[in-house]
Amino acid sequence: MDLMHYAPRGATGLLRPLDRLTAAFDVAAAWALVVLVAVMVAVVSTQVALRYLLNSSINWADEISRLCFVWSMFIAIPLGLKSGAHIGVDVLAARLPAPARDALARLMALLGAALMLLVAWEAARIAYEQWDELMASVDASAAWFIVPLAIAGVHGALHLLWVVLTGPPTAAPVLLEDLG
Amino acid sequence: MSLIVICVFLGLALLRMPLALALGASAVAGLIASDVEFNLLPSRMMSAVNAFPLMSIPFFILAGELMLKAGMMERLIDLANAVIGRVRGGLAHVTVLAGMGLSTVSGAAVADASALGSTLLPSLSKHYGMGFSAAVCAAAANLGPIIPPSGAMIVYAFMAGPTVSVGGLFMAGLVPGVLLVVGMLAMCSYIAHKRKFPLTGEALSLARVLAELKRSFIIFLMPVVVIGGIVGGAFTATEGSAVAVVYALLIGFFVTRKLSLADLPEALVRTALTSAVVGAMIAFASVVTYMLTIDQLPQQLLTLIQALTSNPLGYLLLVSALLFVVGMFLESNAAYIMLVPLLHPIAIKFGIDPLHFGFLFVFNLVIGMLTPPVGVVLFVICGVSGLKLGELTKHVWPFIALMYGLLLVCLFVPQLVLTVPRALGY
Repeated sequence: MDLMHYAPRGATGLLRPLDRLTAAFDVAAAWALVVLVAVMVAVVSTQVALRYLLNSSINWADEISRLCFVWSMFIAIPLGLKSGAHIGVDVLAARLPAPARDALARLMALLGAALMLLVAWEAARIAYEQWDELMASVDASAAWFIVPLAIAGVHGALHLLWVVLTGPPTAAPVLLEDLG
Repeated sequence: MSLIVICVFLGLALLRMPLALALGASAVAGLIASDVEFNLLPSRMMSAVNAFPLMSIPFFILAGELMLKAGMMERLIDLANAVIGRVRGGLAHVTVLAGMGLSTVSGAAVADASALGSTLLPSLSKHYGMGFSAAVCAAAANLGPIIPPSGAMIVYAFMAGPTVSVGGLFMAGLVPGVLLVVGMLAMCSYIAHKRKFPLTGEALSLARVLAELKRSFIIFLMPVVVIGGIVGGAFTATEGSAVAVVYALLIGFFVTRKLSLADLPEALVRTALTSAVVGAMIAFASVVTYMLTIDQLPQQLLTLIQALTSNPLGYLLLVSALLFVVGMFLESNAAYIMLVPLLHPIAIKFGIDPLHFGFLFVFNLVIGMLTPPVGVVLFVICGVSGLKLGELTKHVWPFIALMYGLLLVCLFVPQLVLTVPRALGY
């Protein structure tokens, strides 16, 4: 699976809007991740270089790099749901007959979608309430730290709803790397 | 309330809900049971991930990925070949040494398994058969999280809090890591002689060793700069990992010239996705941990364990036995995130050295990545080799036994783990 080229799955009828909306989220999330991780590397390494080469520092480096990190962590979660990267325990489910396994996957996806929507709703509420609070080093709202949870909640719920409506993907997970 | 949280989590996890979401759902069950507002969910999730030290996870992953794309494996294998020379089972020795070299740059067993398996398995299996070859690759890959840097140790140190420093834990893995390499080489020699494997490699030549050392010098300079910088206090683990990324980029673009700008977007997205698997668990688990803490579960657990044993060694053995079982069934990152906040504070109460406990904890779960039925390194090597899990397990068990043997030695002889960190002031 190409991690940079997300496209609609070619659904027709009532599923088409969900398909296209999810693909649009996927593309935006992938390119956002490229920018966010690149900025994190650039800011932290520049900070080290400035400290040793010019004996100076950037006062917003810590906060902005953390902001990018928080965004990258949450924005990537839905893409992980799509690619099957999130770890699960297969010991019991693998022993079930195929129709029961399919029904179970849909039920779990429905519960997951409800959880992600709850996260999105609560995150949006907190962001709205805290919009006037400012970050410590930058003249921007501290609520930007919570916004990615709202986006990831909606995006993740879209992927999980797709599983509820069409069944679990048959392909194996594409991501093998982990931190082991 | 703790019981509800734990039951919901176990139930959903067994029904194949991704562990991160199962943690989230059990947290919601806890919030409902204790009548706490739902807004705790996103605020604690954000706070858990909003941590500068955690950024070293994606940075080390990215550095490892870029070094592999930059062609470091070829240089490591050439060096290992030159050092080993012409011996029985030589290629197996080369695999172990290449695994050691790889682990000084990458901190992840699964990524190392993929790299070692795809590059070395074809030639290994030609000489020694697929079973033994796959087992050697799997065992060598497991050096990744033991020899610094180590993603597992970063996660452990983060979950354990201020009593464990990443640099100290990295250094704790140094002596056991080297002992493990020596043990694996001895194991390969023994099996090679017993099964009469053919001689492979070229005769040992000092000129060739020096030439290959010169070629690989630039690779080994990276851990010296990065780990040396972290341990020496020149920069934090996160800054060191960012330096590692820049170093890998410079190597790939200007030394090996195998890296292109077109490789970067996918590497960056893959890094973020891999990190988010851990990040999602940390975020959701933070709510669960909070719910369990307000229910005083850690104190209840401490009372229970103190009723079982009052001896620190007894506690270490108890935890080792628990992790032995957990490692068979649970992915290691999930285990760190769920168990370290509960078991680490109790170890401190027992007066056990935090670095000793931390290293044993990580080592035990790293071995768990090689034990069926849930052993992610086994899964990767099965995928690369085409072997069935049962067949691979038959060949890998001597290495598992070796690792558990070393684990027990480290448990009873803490000096093996603590001498280097102590000498460096940790």
